[in-house]
Amino acid sequence: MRSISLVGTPTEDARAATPAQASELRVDQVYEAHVDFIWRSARSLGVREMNIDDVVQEVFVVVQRRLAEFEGRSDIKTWLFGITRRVVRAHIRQQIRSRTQTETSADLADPNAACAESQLASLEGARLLYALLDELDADLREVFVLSELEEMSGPAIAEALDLELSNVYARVRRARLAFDAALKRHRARQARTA
Amino acid sequence: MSELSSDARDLIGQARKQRSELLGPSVEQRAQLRERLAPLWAADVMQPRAARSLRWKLGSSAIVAGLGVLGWLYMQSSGEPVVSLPLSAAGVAQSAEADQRSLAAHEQGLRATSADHVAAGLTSNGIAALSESARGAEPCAPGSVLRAGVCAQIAAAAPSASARGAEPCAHGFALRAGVCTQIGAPPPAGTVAAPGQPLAAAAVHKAKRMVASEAKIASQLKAAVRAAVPARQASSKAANASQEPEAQDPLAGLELGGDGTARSVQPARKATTERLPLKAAEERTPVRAVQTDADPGPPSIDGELELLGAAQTALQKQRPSRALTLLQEHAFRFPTGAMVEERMAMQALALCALQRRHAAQTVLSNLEARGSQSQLLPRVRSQCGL
Repeated sequence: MRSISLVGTPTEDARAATPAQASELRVDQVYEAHVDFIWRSARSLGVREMNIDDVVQEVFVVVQRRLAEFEGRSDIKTWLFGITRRVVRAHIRQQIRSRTQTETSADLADPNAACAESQLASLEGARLLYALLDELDADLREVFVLSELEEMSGPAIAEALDLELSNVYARVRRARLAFDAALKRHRARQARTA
Repeated sequence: MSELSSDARDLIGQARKQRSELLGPSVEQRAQLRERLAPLWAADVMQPRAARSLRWKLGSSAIVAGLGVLGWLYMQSSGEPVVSLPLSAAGVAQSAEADQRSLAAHEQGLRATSADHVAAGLTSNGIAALSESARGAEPCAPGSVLRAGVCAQIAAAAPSASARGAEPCAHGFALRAGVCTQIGAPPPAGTVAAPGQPLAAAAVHKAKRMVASEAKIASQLKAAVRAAVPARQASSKAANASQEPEAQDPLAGLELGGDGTARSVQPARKATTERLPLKAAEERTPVRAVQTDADPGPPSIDGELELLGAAQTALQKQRPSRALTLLQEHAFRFPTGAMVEERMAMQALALCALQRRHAAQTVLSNLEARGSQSQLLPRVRSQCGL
């Protein structure tokens, strides 16, 4: 068995853990290797910027509690996305109940919002991306994020979302159509205001 | 598989390139989150899973021991045992069973009429019945069960007084070497298997054959790896060089037989350089996107080639359903890839092989509708008979 460094540095071990190495993984190693992925996924699944750190923290609390159950038989990113998805869904349900969600899609979509960062084209692109993702249904959003942003394969997505492969392909097709339509609507609004 | 518009592709491409910087946490956010989670991790580091498991085992043992003490106290007070210790009883039973197996092996194996032939008398059945611990035993170790068993058998079975008084470790190296060979222990230095030990000779012969077989397999694997590495490099180079259209054409060398199934007509020289990597690619299922968080990298044609190559191999092996699955994955991962036309042509071929001519015709019509000027179209049409 390959030893895993005890220092919390990103290691290949945590990125692609074999069954033998999975029993040696520690949560701080998983954090260093995959916090970006979890952060991006949570953000892309609809968590607002103001809540993102709380949600990611909650994900890692669950990861720490359940890491002993991970046997390395699947990709750890697939396993982590499953946890992230459940935590995000619970968070969004709570937000809807408490109605404390102050940040809206329109704020994100507006490139003229009062934010110095919005001057950067790349940030505008990110804001626009999140705004368009907000227009997708949750099911379509998940497959779209995994296929287009994370570039995961169809079988990996099927495993992460516990879906049949044919359903994944069908959902990705619908998600692409919906995303395209949302982008066209956005461009039309831009043209009217220009 | 529907395609994204160019506007959407640009947006997604920008997000992919800068996903770590833009969509991920900043350095400050990472540090803050780490600080918040550190107390939880400290607990995890202090009590890693192995330690927690050991603690659980120790706790269980303490409980069992406590029950044992209570039972003993009660037995002392009442005069009869009322508390059973299942773990201890199971251990004793297991130990007794192992001892019985060892003794049975000795009895079965040590049926020689003289001390010199005791080792030859250890049958393979007797050895197989030995427990793991007995298999590694040293017959000359003082107090060893095996030694006692051998001595007892010699004394009981030897016809002469001199043989009856023989002792396995004092009776010459031949006996000891034979016993060691049979029980799997290393023979003493300077000894050889005694003549007249057919089982030992057979075991040595069998071991030699196994070693030779493993060496042959290892040499075959090395040869395959040597052939595959340069072939894969050559394939990548060919893919990157646009002036070599033949190497980029995954349909090269494919034709449909009279029964509608695909077969390879590649020349032998090409087959030796291209089949190995394609086979390797096909056997890696499901095909996953290889990537890291830190460096997503530009989209590469390698992934496309890998999938299409695997699909081509599947067609050559007359597995059109498998080829269709791989081509569907290609359509999913590379809806606007550089080899869409090749994919559609191969889809048509696979559908033809499955006798789904109407679907194949539809795919070819879509290929024509793209305004393709590819040479693939007439070839596929002629091979499919469409």
